Amino acid sequence: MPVIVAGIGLAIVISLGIGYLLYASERPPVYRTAAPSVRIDHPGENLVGPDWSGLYKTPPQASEERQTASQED
Amino acid sequence: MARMKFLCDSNRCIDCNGCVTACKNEHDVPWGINRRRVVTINDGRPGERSVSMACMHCTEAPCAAVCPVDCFYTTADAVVLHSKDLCIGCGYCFYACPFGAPQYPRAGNFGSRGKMDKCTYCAGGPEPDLSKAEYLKYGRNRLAEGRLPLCAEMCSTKSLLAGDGEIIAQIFRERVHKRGYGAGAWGWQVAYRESVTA
Amino acid sequence: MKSRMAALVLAATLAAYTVPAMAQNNAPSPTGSNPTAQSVTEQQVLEELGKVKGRGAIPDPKEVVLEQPQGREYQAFHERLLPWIGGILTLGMLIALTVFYLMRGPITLDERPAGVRIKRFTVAERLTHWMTAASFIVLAITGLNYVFGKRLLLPLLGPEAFSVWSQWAKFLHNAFGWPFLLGVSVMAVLWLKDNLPDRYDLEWLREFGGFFSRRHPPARRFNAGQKLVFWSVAVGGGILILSGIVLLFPISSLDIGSLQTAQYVHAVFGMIMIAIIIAHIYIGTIGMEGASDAMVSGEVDLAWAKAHHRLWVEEEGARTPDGPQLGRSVPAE
Repeated sequence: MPVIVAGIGLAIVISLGIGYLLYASERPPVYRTAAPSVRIDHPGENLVGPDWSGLYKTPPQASEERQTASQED
Repeated sequence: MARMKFLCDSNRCIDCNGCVTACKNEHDVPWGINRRRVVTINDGRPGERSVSMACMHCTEAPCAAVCPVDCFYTTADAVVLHSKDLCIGCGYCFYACPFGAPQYPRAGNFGSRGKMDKCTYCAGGPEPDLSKAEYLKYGRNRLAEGRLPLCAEMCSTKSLLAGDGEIIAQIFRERVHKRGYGAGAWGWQVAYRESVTA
Repeated sequence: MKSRMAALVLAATLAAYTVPAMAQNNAPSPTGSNPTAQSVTEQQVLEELGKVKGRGAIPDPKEVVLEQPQGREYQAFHERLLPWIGGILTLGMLIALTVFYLMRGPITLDERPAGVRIKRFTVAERLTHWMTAASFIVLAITGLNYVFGKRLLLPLLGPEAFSVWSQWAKFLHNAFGWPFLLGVSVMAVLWLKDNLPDRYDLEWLREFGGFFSRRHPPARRFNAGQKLVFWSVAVGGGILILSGIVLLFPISSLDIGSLQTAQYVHAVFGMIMIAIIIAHIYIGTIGMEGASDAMVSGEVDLAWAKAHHRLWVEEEGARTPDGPQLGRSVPAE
């Protein structure tokens, strides 16, 4: 009798275990179906979006030069 | 009542994929799913033919017959729709469909198929007409607004016709008569068991 | 006069309708070319390939199949032929076993029990068997739901409840296929040697195991009936597993024809295996006294073993994978 219960339990553990592993190893559909030339992650820095302040964010290096330049004006 | 059908005039189709883009955009079709697609036969050779294909909304739809949970229904306009709430994503409708219309976007558990998605003839689904739930699940319901499917409306050469079967068959017949040739209504024999004779 | 006018009008109208029809076939188009003559027609492609296939903008190779008319054959198989096959096999087996039980009754041990118990199956063998058995029960019930669910359960449960049950059934069916795979593989390895055909099998089969003659044709560790079950499970189960994996990973198939074929094979072999296992369960539980002991506790009465598997006791020393447990020749009681 304990063997029967152990057998059923083993079946459940193996089935759910492999099920979870297969599910976790899947990539989301947007990655699976996109062509190699499509960019999905890593957005850029000056994209227009809901947080857009209306100003162009200068990169850190150029902003220092621009600050000194504007002070000269 | 009208018996809605699609007819793609393969002599006019230029493979622009405007119908594909219109459909994908209008219904927010998920990634990797193509409710409508354009297939080109004999590409690059004389006699090349392009055909725009989506669900044909067959008479006696095979998809509806093989569904193990009976989630399909046919509206009064003979549009074949299904319920994503009842669908279990088993894939039988894809095996039975002669045109490969049913597609399965989201991965279910195991990475198995999620709920089936297909062309709805811009007629939504079992949710209340023009509700938000209907839009999120099935896309826009143009038929309830009194309009025809967007793919046919956006077709750049008016090769894709949608509407009452008698009317579009007549339009096609007149075209064949006027220009003197016609490659036939692709898929009509398989879907509706009739052909458009000119 | 009037009738002649009418006839003229009628003739003119008819001419107006027929002339354009003739023009479509014979008159050249304004440019002089006739693209229809050059181009391929749907009928032509269907005759050549059996399906209509071309090229398209979408990378998936399955998307460029325009028409696959054999989908209607799939419908005919799945909706008309398959329920008949399943019904006849399952119900037929149940009816046959009921009749057999009522006529013959269970197979009892007519010899006096010896009171000594010997080991029949090791822990590993029993664990594997029960793991596989539990998986098979789940797979059988959830598998039958795909074919008979909407006919039998849907009217009882209603669409929403039946859909929830069917979604769980699909998940369980996909999940329990894996322990079934593991179990069948291990059993095939563990019991292969003992299930190879030997010279006592033909006689056992000819006497139908002694079910009706009430004799005990000699057998080794497994008799011919058990060997039939073993090979059915190994081969049939293997086929079910292979076709099931093809269906579970549709991306592995190149075209829809292979998916449909896998479905046909999986469904038919599933029905066959269900019928065989029903008979196996019968004989292992109510069909034979003392049989269930073997797989539940692992031990059987010595007299039972001598009656049903005489050569296993006498010639093989009641050998299990752990080794022989008795001397080569056992003294008679």
